[in-house]
Amino acid sequence: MADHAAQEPGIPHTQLGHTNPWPFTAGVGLLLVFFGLLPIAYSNPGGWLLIVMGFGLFGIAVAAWLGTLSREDISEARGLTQPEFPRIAPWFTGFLILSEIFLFGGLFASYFYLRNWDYIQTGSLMHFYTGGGSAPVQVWGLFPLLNTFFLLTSSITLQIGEAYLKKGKIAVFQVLLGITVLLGVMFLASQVYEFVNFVTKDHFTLQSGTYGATFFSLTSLHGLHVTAGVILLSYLLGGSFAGQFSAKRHMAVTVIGIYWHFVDVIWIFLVAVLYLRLI
Amino acid sequence: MSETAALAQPHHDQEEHRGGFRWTNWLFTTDHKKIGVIYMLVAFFFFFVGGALAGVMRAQLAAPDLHLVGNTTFNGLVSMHGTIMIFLWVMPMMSGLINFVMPLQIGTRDMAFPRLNALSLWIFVGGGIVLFSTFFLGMPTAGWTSYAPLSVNDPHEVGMDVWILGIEMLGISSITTGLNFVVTIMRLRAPGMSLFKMPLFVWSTLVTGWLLILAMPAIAVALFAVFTERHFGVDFFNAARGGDPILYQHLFWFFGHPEVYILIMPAFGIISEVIPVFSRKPIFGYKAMAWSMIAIAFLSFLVWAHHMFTSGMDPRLTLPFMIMTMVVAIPTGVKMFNWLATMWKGKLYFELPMVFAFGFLVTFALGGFTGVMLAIIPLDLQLTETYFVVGHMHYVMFGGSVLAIFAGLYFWFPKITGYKLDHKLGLWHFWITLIGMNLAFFPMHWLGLLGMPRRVANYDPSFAASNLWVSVGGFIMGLAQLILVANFIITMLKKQRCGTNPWNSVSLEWSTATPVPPHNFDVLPQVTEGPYHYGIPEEESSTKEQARHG
Repeated sequence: MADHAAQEPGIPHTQLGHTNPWPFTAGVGLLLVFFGLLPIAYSNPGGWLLIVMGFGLFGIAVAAWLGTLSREDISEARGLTQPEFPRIAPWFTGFLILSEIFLFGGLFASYFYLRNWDYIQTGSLMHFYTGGGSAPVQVWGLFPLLNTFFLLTSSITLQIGEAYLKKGKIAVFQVLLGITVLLGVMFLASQVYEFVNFVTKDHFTLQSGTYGATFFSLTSLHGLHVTAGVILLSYLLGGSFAGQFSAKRHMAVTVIGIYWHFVDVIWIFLVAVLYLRLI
Repeated sequence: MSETAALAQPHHDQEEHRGGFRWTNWLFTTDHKKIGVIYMLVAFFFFFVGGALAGVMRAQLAAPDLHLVGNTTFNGLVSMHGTIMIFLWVMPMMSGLINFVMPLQIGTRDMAFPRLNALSLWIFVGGGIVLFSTFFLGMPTAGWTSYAPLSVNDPHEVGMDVWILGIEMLGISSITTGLNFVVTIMRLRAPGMSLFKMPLFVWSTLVTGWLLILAMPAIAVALFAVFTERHFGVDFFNAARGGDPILYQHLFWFFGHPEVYILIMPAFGIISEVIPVFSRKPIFGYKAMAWSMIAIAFLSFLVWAHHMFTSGMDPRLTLPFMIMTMVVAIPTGVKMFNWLATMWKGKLYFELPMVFAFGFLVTFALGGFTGVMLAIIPLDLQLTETYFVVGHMHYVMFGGSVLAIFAGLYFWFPKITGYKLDHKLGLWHFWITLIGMNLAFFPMHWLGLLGMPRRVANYDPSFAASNLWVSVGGFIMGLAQLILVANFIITMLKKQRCGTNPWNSVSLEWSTATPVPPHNFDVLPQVTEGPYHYGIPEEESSTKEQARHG
């Protein structure tokens, strides 16, 4: 294996710190978030306080955690860090995406199962799409079209930006990355607007039968992934202004880029299945 | 691997540069060894909690018509016993052993993501705290499977929600742990260690990691759906509003069946480590062992509906699921015969790990046989939801996973602490556990054949005699675990060092110093041979020396 440079026998061990307070802190934050969901389920708004505190703690911890990571990264030149990162990061992303495929797969499977179940009971292919109402809900329209445009374009800008980064043209990379983040934010804004329209105008909600349940579960889960992606891309943008990336050091951009493309691909499936009802 | 031994000069053999005990050294640690130890300690706490719950259940069932606990409490005990033993005992215990041993076995400094590893640990502990809080907020009563609509019907049962949130947290922890295992094994093996030179415990970890990554999302979806249906009027499982409760069972068992292989796969790994060392022979059919684990993992995703033959699912699906389930017996049989063939004509040393491995082979084989019986549709239609299933399940879970955990614990305890657990006490622990467990779980089979339903707080008086045996056996088995605790305490107090390699094993974890220095290896080892080259003459003579003297 040629890429075993970091693991050559005879090279003394790296000076990785063996304690770090931030994983523990992040764990406490997540515990607060999950405990906060309980009062909310019982319509007690006090839960939001716990959730905000929990996410705050989690966010601070992760930010500090990433901070220590980049400090180590900078000292890499002195041979004092964990040089394995470029070798392991793509693998982590790959397996994470595999897990995500099974997560979305579970919801997609539920969607098809419940649609089939509806068909067996009513004998009508369209009945499922009424969501308990009188006529099939019209979900395709301007906003999903715009959203598709936003996401597909953002994947392209990110990819071109990465190519420029690899050529060493940091400024162009920063502009294209900024556009990518903007497109992600526009997607989210447009999706929120779309959901508000569904609820107020079409009376199509999470409670609209099994169709509403699966439609909103899938699209919201995807929305959460876009949100996570926007946060990660913003982190990249901040890092690029702090001078963390260069033509040689771009692995963080590459792996977050892979994740962003994956979110894009999921959206295409959502459009084909949920919006256009092609399958 | 003589080069290995030469490279890793053990000059850290004393308890130096530990700098005394500090809480932050443990709370904030990113060291896979400390993380592994914390996993194991938390797991042992929950082992006794779960055991206590079983104790109360068996007291209630010792004779018919007892009223020690009410029906609702009994349902809560059933649910929490299952949940705790699976999610808070076997899984974290395996995770702890893997965390401690696997990076040493592949010759690396730490996990691929040490900090993520720490986060996984604390999310797991958080999930444990959430689940433990059900003892104060009210226990869930829908069983560890929490089938809809049972889990959906009573939206004011707080314990059910707490349970869901706790399991979701443990799910997140399991996925990140699985990712860490897989990436570590794929990318950080010592130079020269190709996939087919890995010890089988590492193979089992790799396969377990895959199962965690792929199976956990399904239960996340299922429980998310239950949670929203309980509180926000969302329809997934409500048959009156177009949903289907069977969908829950499909989602749950798509997770649930790989889950039972998550529990048993590391056990296969442990037994595959122990048997060659104490038979002084290479493992028989190394490649077949690795491939059979892969085959079992693959099949585990194609057998889930064998839990649902009576659910009312499409009857055309039952036959394929029965056939796939029976096919699992083939790779499992390969493993059984390979373990036996490894011992065949070997020089057997009856050290404690080996003794527990023998126990595993016998009881796990029995559990496997009843598993094949349950796969047969006409039998399953009669036996499902009876004590026969409880008997089968405990033979594979306790007789399989837990006995293997004990084997692994006695095997690696000298690596973790530097001390060997006491042999005599260990034998008492083994025999009393084995007798107790067979007394407790064997009568369950005929109780099931006679038709005694599971998960019920009372039974027909005609079952009284056998149930008393089950209860007595259960208490014997539970008390036997106190011997293990006593053994820990005595061994830790005696502080008799046993050297870095008391079993004369050739795998890498024994080549470094004990206690293991924070960076594991002073110089990373170079691997040239497979993991099980036992039976070389000069090595054998030194083994005999060692056995005679120590």
